[in-house]
Amino acid sequence: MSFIGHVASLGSLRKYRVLAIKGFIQNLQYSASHLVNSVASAIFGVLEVHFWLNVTPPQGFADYAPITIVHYLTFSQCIVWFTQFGIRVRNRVRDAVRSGNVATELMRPIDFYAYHVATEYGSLLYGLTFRGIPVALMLSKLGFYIPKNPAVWGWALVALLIGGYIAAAQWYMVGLTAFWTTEIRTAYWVISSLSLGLGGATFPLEVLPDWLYRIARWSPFACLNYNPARIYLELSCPKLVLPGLAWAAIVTVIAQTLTRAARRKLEVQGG
Amino acid sequence: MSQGGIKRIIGLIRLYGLLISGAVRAKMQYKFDFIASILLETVMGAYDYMVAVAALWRFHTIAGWNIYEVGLLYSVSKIGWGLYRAFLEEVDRFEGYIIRGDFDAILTRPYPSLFVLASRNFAMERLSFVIQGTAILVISLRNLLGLGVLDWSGVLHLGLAILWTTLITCAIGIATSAAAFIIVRVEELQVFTQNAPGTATLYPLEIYPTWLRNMLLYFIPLGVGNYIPVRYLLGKGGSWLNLVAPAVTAAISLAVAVRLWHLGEVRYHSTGS
Repeated sequence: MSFIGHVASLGSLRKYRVLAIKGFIQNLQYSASHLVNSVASAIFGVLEVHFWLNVTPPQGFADYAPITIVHYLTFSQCIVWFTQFGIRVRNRVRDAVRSGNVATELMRPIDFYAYHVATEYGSLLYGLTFRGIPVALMLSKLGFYIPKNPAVWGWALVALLIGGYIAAAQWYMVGLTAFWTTEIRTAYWVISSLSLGLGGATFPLEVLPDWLYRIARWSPFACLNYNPARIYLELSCPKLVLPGLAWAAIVTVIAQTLTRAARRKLEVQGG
Repeated sequence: MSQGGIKRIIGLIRLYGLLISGAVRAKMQYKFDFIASILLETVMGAYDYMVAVAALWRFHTIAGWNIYEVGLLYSVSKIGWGLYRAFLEEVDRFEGYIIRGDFDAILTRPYPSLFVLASRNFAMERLSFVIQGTAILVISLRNLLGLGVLDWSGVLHLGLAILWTTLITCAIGIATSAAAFIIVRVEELQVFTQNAPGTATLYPLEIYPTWLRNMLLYFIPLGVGNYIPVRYLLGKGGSWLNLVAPAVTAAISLAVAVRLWHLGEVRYHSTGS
């Protein structure tokens, strides 16, 4: 059965839903610690807001007035725990390769890629709920935009859910490099720099030089923070979810291809 | 100091050198991986500076500071952070010793526990921060010396600022890790006392609200290490006291941190086995 057919079958959907719920629940036991971390996350939000408020001219830039910059940054800081930080799938895959447990994982009658991404997605949804909302409340004093149109909420949520999926998939692929190199540090640094720099996590992409902006806005990284923020702030129309959908399909195909190659490459030491 | 005291210090330095050279040799077994990862971290880890470059490329100044002036703040802070992590990596990871009960073994050694921890590791990979900071320092200095904003005596004072920043960073690291004696897990606390203030002091403090500025100058005084002297050296205000304040702050911070460490040590209860 094809990957799409496998994932779409009712039994599989139930399995992946259970895995996502498990990923969510696993985090609940650390919620007190995460709350403390949210305060720190909010402090980083404060730093960013003050930095950008100081550099932004009074008339603003592109379609960002100074207050829009504040709204962009506070919203972006709320979603970083869904699209940028706290994603552990890469370490899980790497550790499985190093310990040899990956052999057992690959033998399971469940798609290796979907298994890891579903578990991570549940964990990311936890981050959005238990880290994002507290950060939003803490940063609301600086300025937090609330769209009046319910459809905007819906489209922003769709863009965000796609962004979370792309994030989980890209970090899964970073973990997959362990099949070839054991160590994933290089891939980690490359992807984390690109995600932060071209994802619009700490500034709107229009700040970048024009040539880099043109590359960044059509890259998969823009789907992480920039596109959801633009839709939420009503700076772009809902059509901005389309590049996200396209990228989600592309990263799925790439991840599946790499998983097949990794399966052929696998060497497990020991007896 | 008595002759016995001097002998003991020389002995400690020798022992430290011996232990550290062993740790470094072990790491250099995988030379290529090691050098490649340091180079990569050096380039990729300059994210905060790249953000400032992107912002100042478009908007030119931040609170009246240009990119080269911000570069001085950034480099002093990053080099200080890199040296702290290189020399006191095990202090920074101290919560693991408490959780696993490994601190018992440290206490059995006939040397101060801070010394034993420091001599267990020299995190050469953290030198990526030092390389990164030095590169940005050189670029900034070339411009500022060329324009006459800074002279060579200023460069000397910058060297001292790096030293004081390193000591203040060490003090904050030790004080934060000392909390592990009581609360065990300090990872989240480190974000408050080290990561967030470290990021904040990469930029001029006048961009922040008063409460935050005061916190970075009086409570977690990382800003005294870089912002206070650099501000004076660039002619942006202050007096010669700006050059003395970091030394005094470093001495007081270290004394307080070591005292906190000893207080924590007294309260330490083994996890048992």
